[in-house]
Amino acid sequence: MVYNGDEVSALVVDFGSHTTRAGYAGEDTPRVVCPSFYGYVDEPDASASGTNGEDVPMDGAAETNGGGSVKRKGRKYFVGENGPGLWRAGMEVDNFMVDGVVHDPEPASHLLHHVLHERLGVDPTEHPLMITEPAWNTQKAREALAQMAFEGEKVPAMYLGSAGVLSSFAAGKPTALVLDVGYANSSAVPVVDGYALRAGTMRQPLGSALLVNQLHHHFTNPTPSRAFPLSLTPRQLIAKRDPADSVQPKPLLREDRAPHTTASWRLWAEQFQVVDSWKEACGEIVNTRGFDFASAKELPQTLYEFPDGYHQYFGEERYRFTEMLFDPKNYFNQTIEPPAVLRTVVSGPHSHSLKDLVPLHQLVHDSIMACDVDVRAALLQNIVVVGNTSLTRGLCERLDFELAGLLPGQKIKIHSPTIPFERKYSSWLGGSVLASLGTFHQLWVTKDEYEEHGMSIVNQRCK
Amino acid sequence: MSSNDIRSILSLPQTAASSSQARRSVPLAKKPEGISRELYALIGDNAPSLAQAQSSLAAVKYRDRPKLKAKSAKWAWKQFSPAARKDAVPLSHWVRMSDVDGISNDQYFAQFNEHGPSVMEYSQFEYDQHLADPDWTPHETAYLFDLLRTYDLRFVIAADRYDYRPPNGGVVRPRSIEDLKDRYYGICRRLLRTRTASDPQAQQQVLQSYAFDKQREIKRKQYSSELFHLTSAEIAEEEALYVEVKRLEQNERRYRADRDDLMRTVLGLDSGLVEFDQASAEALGFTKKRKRPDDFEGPASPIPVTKKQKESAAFDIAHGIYRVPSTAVNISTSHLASKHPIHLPAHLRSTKIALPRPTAAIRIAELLTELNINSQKLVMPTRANLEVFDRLLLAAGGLIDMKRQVDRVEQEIRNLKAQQQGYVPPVTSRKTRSLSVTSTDTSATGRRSRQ
Repeated sequence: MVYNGDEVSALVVDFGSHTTRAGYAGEDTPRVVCPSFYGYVDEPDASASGTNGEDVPMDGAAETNGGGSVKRKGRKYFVGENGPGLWRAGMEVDNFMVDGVVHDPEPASHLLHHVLHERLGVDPTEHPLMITEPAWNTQKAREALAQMAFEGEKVPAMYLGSAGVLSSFAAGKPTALVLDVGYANSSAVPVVDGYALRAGTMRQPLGSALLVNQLHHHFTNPTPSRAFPLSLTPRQLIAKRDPADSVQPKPLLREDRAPHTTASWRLWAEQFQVVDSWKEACGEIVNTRGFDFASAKELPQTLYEFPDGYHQYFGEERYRFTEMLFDPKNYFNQTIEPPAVLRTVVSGPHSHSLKDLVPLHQLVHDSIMACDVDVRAALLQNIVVVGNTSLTRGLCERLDFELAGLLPGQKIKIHSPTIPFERKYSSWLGGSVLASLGTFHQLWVTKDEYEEHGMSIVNQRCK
Repeated sequence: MSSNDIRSILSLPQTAASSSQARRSVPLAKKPEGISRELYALIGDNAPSLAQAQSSLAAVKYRDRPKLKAKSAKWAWKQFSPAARKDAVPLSHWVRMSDVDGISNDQYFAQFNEHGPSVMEYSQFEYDQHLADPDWTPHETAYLFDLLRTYDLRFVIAADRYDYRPPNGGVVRPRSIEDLKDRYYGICRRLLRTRTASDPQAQQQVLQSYAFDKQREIKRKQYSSELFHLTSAEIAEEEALYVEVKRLEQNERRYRADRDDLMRTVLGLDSGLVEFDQASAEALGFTKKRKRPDDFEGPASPIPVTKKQKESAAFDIAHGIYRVPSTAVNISTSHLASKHPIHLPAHLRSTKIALPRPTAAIRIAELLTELNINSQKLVMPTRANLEVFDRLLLAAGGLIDMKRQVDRVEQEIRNLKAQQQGYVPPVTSRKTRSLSVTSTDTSATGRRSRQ
């Protein structure tokens, strides 16, 4: 009974916009981290096999149809690490998450099945399952998740944990303001005594998806310092690198693949693999004084090489685009077409659309100000910053500086885990902590209860 | 064989402390465990500190052999149900079989199932009698109580989750956290008042704890919310004001201390500035101070001559006693004098005699000796004599001063005459020096102007 833990061998699955995490409760890292993107091939007749012999679905998701949901006729899903990441002829790529919520349950249930059976290799009927959900989860998505777990995987018990609450648990705080700067969204969720407050929950589609989109546009168009657009060819399409060290490399492409590559896969590969890697390697935030073009020339440069062999010392681009997080008015280029998924978010009391993005510190400020006066001070002193994009160097320092400017005289304390995976997978980690606590087990929604009461018992338990 | 023996063999000097007597007196019981007697005797009183200090080191024991034959604890994968759940929960965990009889996990964790303060209950009858409120339907009140029970009276969360929909589609009223608190505490107070209590005092106390003033709470929240909207300029101003007040207070204190000091040394009386503490300083201090001059502005009444003094006047004349009127301080100028009687330290009256200036004192003494008058002491220092003597001294001083003036004027005349006749060269050197000084001055100013 160390740490008041009680292992019931629960599983924790955390669906994110970018990656889906899964693992055993009580462990400190998820066992499985795979993209939430999925590939699919529409085949007119279900019996037809792929064009290539080796193109059998790696996960077997399409064959073992564990999901109780309606299966679209003749669609083959490729999920998991080897889903969209592997090139397949005619494979389209899509994401089942929209606005942080599981939007398309069918590929999600395929992914869940893949993760549980192929990757973790467990029998889900023996393990209670905790699934995370965002604070703004819809009733429809909840139902889909419950259905996926109970009917699809036949888990004995399930619980829906709110991601913001779990992140604050992972940081060891019952009361905190969780700023999650992720892939699709950046969200601020006030958590008081382990309950996420709906009034103060704010979100906006300002995350690395938008950042990568802007960067992608920047790279694929000529700039004053670069006369030609970059090809951004992903490694899957390159047969051989250009041996000559030229300024504009011309790698030998795999001609056999080029005609069968779909536009959505190409875009996914360029953004998700090429530009995203550049962003994580080079992206940085200018500290405190903010970005301006006058002093941008003096900022430190770094060498980066793209998969096609193009390499350059990047300077101001490293700072100009990330500045969008703190100054979307000036650094978010509205003329560039944003990803369609991000445009679904509409402005409301708890969300900002792409048209009226606010800086991250403003988001935190608005979120705290929407809460009751008596809890504001506690929230200000427990700001937890998580999410993959929050790993951008200098983000926390800048946030601290900007918040101090917005709320002068207030005591502000920002807590952000130093270990990268604790920030990236913080909600998974919180779920792992919660699901291994001895005092938690009375909250599981069992299969019997679900069959008897339906969704009402889930809504009642997971509040 | 002890260390002493070895020392004697090696003809080393005996240590003072190691006399055989002392050796005997120390019992051998001090020998630590694990060292043989002979070895310990060799070490002797040279006190091998390590071995003694770490007697555990000497007593180190090897770990016991693992008991291979002992049976390993048996663990079993057992199904259990948390204590708070009545139904069968399909959860299992590993349990050590030896612990099965003892306190089990679910019992252990049940002790953490604590709920917050209990929410009051009311019956339908009570509601109809006392709790009806035009603003709240019974249904909504029940909803509120249910919500509060769910969230253990956490009003912040209950207000956040408040989503009441009237069953027959009535108007949805937005409820603030103050509305909820007002309703809940109002009901609690009314219930307490109507229910008969065994201990009225305790009932009063509980009633006190349910006191809630909605308007005041709203006002309080407004004020504390304003604190979050201060700009940095306002905060800076506030801080500057605070520093200024502190500085003023300090100045005030220093000024008071200085004034006290000055008054005490010069006039021998307290400054009369009343010490006022910090708390009342802001509120009362300044008005008080402003008022004070008015209080004392009127002309101070002359000190009345008391009856006793009148009686003693005849006595004084008879015995030649002369009383000096206390005119040290002009009463009318100091408003303090009436309040604080003039403090005169004890002194000899002779110290009040005006003494001639020390430079003139020698000349006066010479003059007096010329006139055959003893300047040191009067044979009969009566009042009249002293006055005469005083006058004499004054006159002598005046004479000497006059003489000095005359001497100086004569000397000047002599000098000028000598210059006129050419005996003494005119003071050209002095003039040139002054010239040079002025020239440097101009140069300096000139440089400055150039800059």
